[in-house]
Amino acid sequence: MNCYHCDLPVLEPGWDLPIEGHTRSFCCGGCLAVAEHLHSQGLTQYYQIRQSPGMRPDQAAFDTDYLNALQDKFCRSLPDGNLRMDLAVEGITCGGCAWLIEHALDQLTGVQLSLVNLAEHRVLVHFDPQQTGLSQVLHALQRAGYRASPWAPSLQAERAKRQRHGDLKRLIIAGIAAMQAMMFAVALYASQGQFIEYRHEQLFRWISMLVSVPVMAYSAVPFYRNAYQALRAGRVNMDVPVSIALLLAWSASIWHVLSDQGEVYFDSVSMFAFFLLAGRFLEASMQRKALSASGLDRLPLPTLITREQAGQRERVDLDQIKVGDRIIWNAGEHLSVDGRITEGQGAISQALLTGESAPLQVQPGFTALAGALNGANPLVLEVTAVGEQRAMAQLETRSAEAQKQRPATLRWAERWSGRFVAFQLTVAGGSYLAWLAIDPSRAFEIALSVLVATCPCAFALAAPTALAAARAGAYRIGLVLLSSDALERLSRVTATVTDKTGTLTLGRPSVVQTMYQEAPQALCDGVVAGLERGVAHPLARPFQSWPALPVNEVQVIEGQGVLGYHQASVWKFGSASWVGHTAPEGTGWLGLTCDDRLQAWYQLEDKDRPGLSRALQRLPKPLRVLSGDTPAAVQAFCQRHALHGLGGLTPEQKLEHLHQHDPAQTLALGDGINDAPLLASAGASIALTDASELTRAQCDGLVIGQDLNAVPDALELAQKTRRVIRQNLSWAIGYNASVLPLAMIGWLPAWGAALGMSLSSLLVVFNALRLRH
Amino acid sequence: MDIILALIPISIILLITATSIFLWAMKSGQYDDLEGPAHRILHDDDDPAHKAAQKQRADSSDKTSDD
Repeated sequence: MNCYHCDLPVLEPGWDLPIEGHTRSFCCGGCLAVAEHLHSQGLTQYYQIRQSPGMRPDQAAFDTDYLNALQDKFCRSLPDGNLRMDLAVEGITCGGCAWLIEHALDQLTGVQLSLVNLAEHRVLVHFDPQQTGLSQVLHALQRAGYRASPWAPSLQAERAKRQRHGDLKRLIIAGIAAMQAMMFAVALYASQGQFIEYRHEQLFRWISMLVSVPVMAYSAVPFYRNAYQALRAGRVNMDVPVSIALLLAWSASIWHVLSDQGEVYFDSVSMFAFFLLAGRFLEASMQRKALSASGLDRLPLPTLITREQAGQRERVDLDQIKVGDRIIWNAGEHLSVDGRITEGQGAISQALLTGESAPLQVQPGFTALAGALNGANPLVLEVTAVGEQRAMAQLETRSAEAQKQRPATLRWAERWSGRFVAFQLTVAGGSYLAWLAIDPSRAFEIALSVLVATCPCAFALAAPTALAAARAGAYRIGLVLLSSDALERLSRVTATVTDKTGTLTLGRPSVVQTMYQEAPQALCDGVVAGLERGVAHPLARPFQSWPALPVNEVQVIEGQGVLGYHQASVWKFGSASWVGHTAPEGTGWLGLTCDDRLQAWYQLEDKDRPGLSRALQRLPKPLRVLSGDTPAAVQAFCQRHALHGLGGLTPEQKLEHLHQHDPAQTLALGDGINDAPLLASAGASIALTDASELTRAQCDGLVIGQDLNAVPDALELAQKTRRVIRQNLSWAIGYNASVLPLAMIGWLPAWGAALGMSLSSLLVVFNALRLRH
Repeated sequence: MDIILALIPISIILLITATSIFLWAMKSGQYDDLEGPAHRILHDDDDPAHKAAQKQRADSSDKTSDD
């Protein structure tokens, strides 16, 4: 049976709710609460209209100080006194979500307008600050099952949006103009100067010249600009032959109109520009999607830090913190500065920083680095480094340097475009010279028809359409391609290096094995859940979702375990030495005792990602595991999966290992800050979902699900893309080569050249579309 | 055939009108979300359960403002 809200399997019955005459079952209290809320608000229609299941909700508490700071920073005032706010919403899966969100927000007093942008997963809200606020809006969304945070576009996103608007304008104008030019051209082609009066023919020629002006003077400008930039840098790219073909054919046609002789090619020129713009528009929209999926499209949310000054605690913005300040590092917070612990002790996790999977016990005197996560208790720190001085910032600079040294890839089509231009110009020039000798009056006309026949239309579309379709295909298999040359890079890898914690494993402890002694399983599990219920230690996490039994007087013994009373017996749960029994073989065992009699063992380990062994088989070999985790933990993991691996590596050592084998053909996988230099300098790199921002910025692709098989799937897709591009290029070259002799001897009529060119382009586009599935 | 001398300028004017309407539509954000509207039109706003809940809420907020 599956949960009515999120469609995950129901492991534990009992969460039921009658909705419209049926009893529906849920997997957890969170899903039930959402459904209950929707029921009470009369919004259960959502369950009928949605096309895919909802996200499993979480009930994070809101921090009012933080929300007020957010409201000041992210809301804009409107002329009517209301505030306008954009929210990025997680969990939007289909049109049903848009309906639900808009209705849930409309029911909130003070909300004037709510509009869901389904393509970008964002909600625009106008609200009256007197009647409601950010926290109410976020709360309403949370109750409806969505996690939202304020959103403002980053510079990159602003630029991408302007670019998209410009591209769309150019595309539509080229499209409209091309259709008009086509209309007049058909009349001209069909009549061949026989069924049409001379003055009408003249009129048609002039009008088609007129409609092609916006295409050439506005829509095609990016081609000229790119070609000019490439030539100035001493390179040749695809836009060079495109611009040459466009400008030559257009100026020749103008000359033909003015001199009243020869063919005109305004329709071909406009269609060509339109096709190319369409191909690039598709590619750019997929890249924009990647930008928003990577989280790089938004301004970072502000970081508030609790500072203690003269006995007063206040929450201030990160940039006001100076070296020497006393700050409070709250449980569950990521640290944003480096600092030495002065008071308190507890467990922190440096998994993102060092790759170490086990929590670290810390005491006063220990220096914690930015990026670490505080698990258990609030700690008091003295700030030792901020901004550029932090250890993390040094990793950032190192990654940026590594990225610069990374070998550039030659984009697939560009490798060919230089040869193509040379070929095109030689043949056109050659025909011109040859015809000068044979019949000088036809020389120019022939040279022009050679140029049109060899028009690189299908050729120029071959790669961009395939890349756009492949990006869509990658999205479908669960991978967002971030860099523009990601597919080229992925198609060349022959070896893999990978991080362990958080990459091959899930990066957080979960229960992998249990052994029960005396008491029944339900009692043991219930007591453990009851003991761990309010404990903030990272190892307590996996037990907290279990149904708990009442446990009283719970005491946390730092670094050892917890104890408490259930039905007049004392229960202890913690490390083997503390509970006083010998643990079974292996690491990560926690024992449960009742009045010092052993009841159960639980083994906690960083669990493997789902589908790991299949993914490992499919990844390019040799495969090396380079981890920052302790060598023992890495050895144990590698033995289990028959892998080669090294532990205890610093980011520098990881880089050294990468450079021992051809780094340009190595695929790097990682998630942590300590992987950033590795990912930045490998030939191709993919990061996992929970990767830190720094790491995302360095990689070519980002896996958006839990399953690692998206990586080998993407490698296959890259190979397939390479094949499709090769087919497209061969077709385009083959077609051009076969009509070329006809054009050279003057047998190819202009309409034939134009028709053949369009069909050839369509064929290339359809071939590329195969990559979407 | 001379009618064509009138028809072509008319078609050009229509062309310019269509293009400017498109540019206006794009500027006003109608092309920003190409997926949402397709779904939105399918969903009924007159759902009785939703209406009832809204009415109930309006009534209760009237009452609180009277107090």
